[in-house]
Amino acid sequence: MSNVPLRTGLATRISIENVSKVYPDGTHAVRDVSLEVPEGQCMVLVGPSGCGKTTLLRMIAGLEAVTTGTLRIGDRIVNAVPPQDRNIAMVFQSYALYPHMTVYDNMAYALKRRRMTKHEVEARVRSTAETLELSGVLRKKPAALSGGQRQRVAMGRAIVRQPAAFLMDEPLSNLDAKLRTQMRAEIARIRAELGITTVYVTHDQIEALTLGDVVAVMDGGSVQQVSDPQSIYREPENLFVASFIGSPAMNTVMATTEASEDGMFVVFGDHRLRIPAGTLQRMPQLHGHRGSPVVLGIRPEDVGLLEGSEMDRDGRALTARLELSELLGGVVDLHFSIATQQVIADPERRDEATVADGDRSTIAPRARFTARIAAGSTPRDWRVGEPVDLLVDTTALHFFDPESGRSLAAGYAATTSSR
Amino acid sequence: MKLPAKGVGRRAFRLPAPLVLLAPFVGLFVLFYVVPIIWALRMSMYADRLIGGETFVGLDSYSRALHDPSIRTGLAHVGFLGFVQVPLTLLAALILALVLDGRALRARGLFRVGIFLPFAVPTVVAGLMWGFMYDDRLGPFGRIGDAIGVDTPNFLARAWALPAIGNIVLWGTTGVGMVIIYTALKAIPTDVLEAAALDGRRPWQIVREIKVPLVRPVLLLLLLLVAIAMLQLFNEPYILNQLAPDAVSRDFAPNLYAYTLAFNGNEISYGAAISLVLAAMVMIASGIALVAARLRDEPR
Amino acid sequence: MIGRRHAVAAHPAERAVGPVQRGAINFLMVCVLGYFLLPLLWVMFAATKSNRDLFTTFGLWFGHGFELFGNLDDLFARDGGIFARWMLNTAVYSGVAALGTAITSAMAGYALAKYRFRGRGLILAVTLGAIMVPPQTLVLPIFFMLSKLEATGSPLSVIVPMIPSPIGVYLMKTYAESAVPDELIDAARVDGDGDVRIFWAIAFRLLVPGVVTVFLLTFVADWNNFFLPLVMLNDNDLFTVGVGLTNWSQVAGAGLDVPYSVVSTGALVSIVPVILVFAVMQRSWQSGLAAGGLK
Repeated sequence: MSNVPLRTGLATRISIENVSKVYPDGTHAVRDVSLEVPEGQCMVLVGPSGCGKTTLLRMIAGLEAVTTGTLRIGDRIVNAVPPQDRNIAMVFQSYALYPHMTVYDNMAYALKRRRMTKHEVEARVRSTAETLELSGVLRKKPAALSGGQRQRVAMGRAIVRQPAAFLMDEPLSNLDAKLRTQMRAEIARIRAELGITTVYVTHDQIEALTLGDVVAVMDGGSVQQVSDPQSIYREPENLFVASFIGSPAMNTVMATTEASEDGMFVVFGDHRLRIPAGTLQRMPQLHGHRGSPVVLGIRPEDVGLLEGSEMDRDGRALTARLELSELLGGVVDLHFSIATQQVIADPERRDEATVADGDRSTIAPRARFTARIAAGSTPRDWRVGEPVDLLVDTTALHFFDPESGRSLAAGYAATTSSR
Repeated sequence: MKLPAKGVGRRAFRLPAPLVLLAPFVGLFVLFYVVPIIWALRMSMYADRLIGGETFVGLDSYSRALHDPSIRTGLAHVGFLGFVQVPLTLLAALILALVLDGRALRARGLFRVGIFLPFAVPTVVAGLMWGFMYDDRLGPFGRIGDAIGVDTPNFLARAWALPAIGNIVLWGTTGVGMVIIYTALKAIPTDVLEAAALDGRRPWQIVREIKVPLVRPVLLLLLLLVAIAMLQLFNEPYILNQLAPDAVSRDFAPNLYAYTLAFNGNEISYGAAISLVLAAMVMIASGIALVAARLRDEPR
Repeated sequence: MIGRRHAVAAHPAERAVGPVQRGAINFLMVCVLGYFLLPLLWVMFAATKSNRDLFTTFGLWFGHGFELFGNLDDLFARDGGIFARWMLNTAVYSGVAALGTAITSAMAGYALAKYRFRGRGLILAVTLGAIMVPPQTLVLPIFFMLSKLEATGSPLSVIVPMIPSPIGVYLMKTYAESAVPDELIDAARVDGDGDVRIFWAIAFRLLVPGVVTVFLLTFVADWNNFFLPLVMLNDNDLFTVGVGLTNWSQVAGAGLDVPYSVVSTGALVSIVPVILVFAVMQRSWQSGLAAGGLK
């Protein structure tokens, strides 16, 4: 199908060392961030609006000055290098196409600098256009294109250059949901073929988990966690990351731990779950928290229906009154209300509760608890108010220190808030 | 007759509000834009003779205008201003707007206000001030010339009449043009310019390849508007004629000529004819400009 | 810290223009600014000189002594205080005309924005076309018409022709389209209000910022209008500042009664009010102008 330009073989890494950005009015947009983007890999910067991810991207591009720290592309320190000379291509959120030029000229524009012959330029532009299915609109101007087409021209403009790295600033957020899913797959495919180092900024965690080789979750100008997508999902290092990643968001509630001859339990509201031995091994700090409050996290996907015959031997069951059920095609989201405090760490959801002073987490008096279960082949009528028996996968319980928000998994113990 | 405003269903009959609201403007417009033209047309076809009162002379005035050398020189003057002076003025405005929009300039606000300030000065007073400054006795140019060893010419001589007037036009118009072009430049989305920078283009290349093409529609419109305005030039030649009648004659520009004929020569019908021809030329040119502007706005 | 050595304070993109280039650009711009301020500087110095000094001393600096107040006295005392009269006349003509323009334009603009009716397209097209016709084109034809009706010579003959303003209507139409929500009008209609009353009681309030802009722009244009008053007025007492000053300059040029110093001081005084208003209203000015210019 395509004459895709071959890998340049010049995959470059990007090193961000202790980089900060402070604006003249004192705002700290980026605080002491250190990241390494390995050759040919895609690093996704994800976080809520205002977390500094776009500022960081623009610093890599050279559109914002680095206040302190060192920025390297390859082995070259580029702090003082103007954007013209960094050999980086960027896909803007608004696409930033040249309105007075045709699609062809838009893509050929960047090649002017190279002093390629007209034939060479034409060959490159046409083959890229073919990859992106733009061959039919080469003569048109941006105003005459659809949103999806414009997005592809923006991508084409970057690809044609075969740069050292791609920077993408929320390239899919202006597309409708269906197109977004399509283009996400396109981008993944192109990335796989070209193998060019990429830094990708998004607020959509699905894009983060599917497109990134490495994911950096950011909040308030700092990096909260850097890992591969699986680890981000399975082993969030703090409450923010745990709440931000995953949809529907992880249930986070205040709980206490109890020790008895049977073992250790976590108690919240009217419910009691046994903490499996394996979890205790991973989180020795739990012992230290005995009796004192702890934040319990359970992902909705880790809660299922208790089939009648299973015995409640392992302390994995809980029963709650159904408040709302939402059928989403193949899955059903069941919403419950639990008599314990809910901890809301995601700043975007802060409005749901009363705000506690100064704290990044807020507390709501009663907890909303969500379970996501497979819809099953037999349709079921969910009645509001009926008690539902649920089974929790207790090997996937998450625990966080209520003061610092840090995960209690071994190696991440902290008593002071360091966010 | 009247359709209801959008978003509302059919209504019971009421006094047509739009008519009431439009009446003052439309009435005055007809009275002072339309009627005068018709009136002048009629007047141009009748001469007021001492004996016999008004007589119909038909198109005599117009044929006279065709052969009148004063008209030809007048048109040559305003033509020069319209086709040479104005493009130069707008080029200056473009350059200033680009400098203002760029990164090199400090104290941008100061320059913006300062260069725009001449707009606040009435053209007559501008003509007056420049006229005085052109005068060797009053103006600074003689002394400055002496200081640097250059022989300053007499700006109030006939040879300098056109450039002298052109300079006043330049002085008064550049600021306005600059502000309009600057606003158009600011309307260019920043990320388009950033994209060009990332594509490796240097600042002056971005100016040439992105900024100027994107303000071209505004530029062309300005060009047309100001050039058309030059056709009916009056104030500057009038005041310079007052100050230096040897340099700027009373027929320097067609509009001035018509005025002179009507007020000093008592040749009302001929004056009316000229002013009408001028108005016709202006309106035709405006019409062309309007059509051209509309065509440009059509989606391609 | 290693990083500090490489941190850059200035914007990296700025470094594409070298410091030498920047210095040159700034220097040239200062010269350009000087050009635009030149006549204003000259007239300020001129107003401080005696008539003799005007002719003998350097134009861009003071003379022997500071005669500003003497000149101002002379200016305002001359001919029984006629200059102040001229200033007042100009203010009145401009103010009344601008007010008329603002209101009629608001009414017409609103009607064009919010209603659809037969002939709307025609009116819009003609108005738009008329914008491109400079007012000076019509002064003589208007004069001929009014003189036949024996209606020249009065303040009204200056004020009324200045009122219809196609560009004012166009600006107000554009403004009314966004400033007055259709829903508001509909709600008032449902409440039983007549349309004209809706305009005055409700819509006009929302249009005020646009009206003010049109008033200010028109005021300046009317203040600066020279040709119309020149042609319409014969009575010295009714002249505008521009016409009066021009007459004086002719007299001065002929070596008669009026000294140049008075004329130049008069020029300075005549532009002070507009420059003051202008400086204060600078922002809304430029955006209003630009909005109209960009169409």
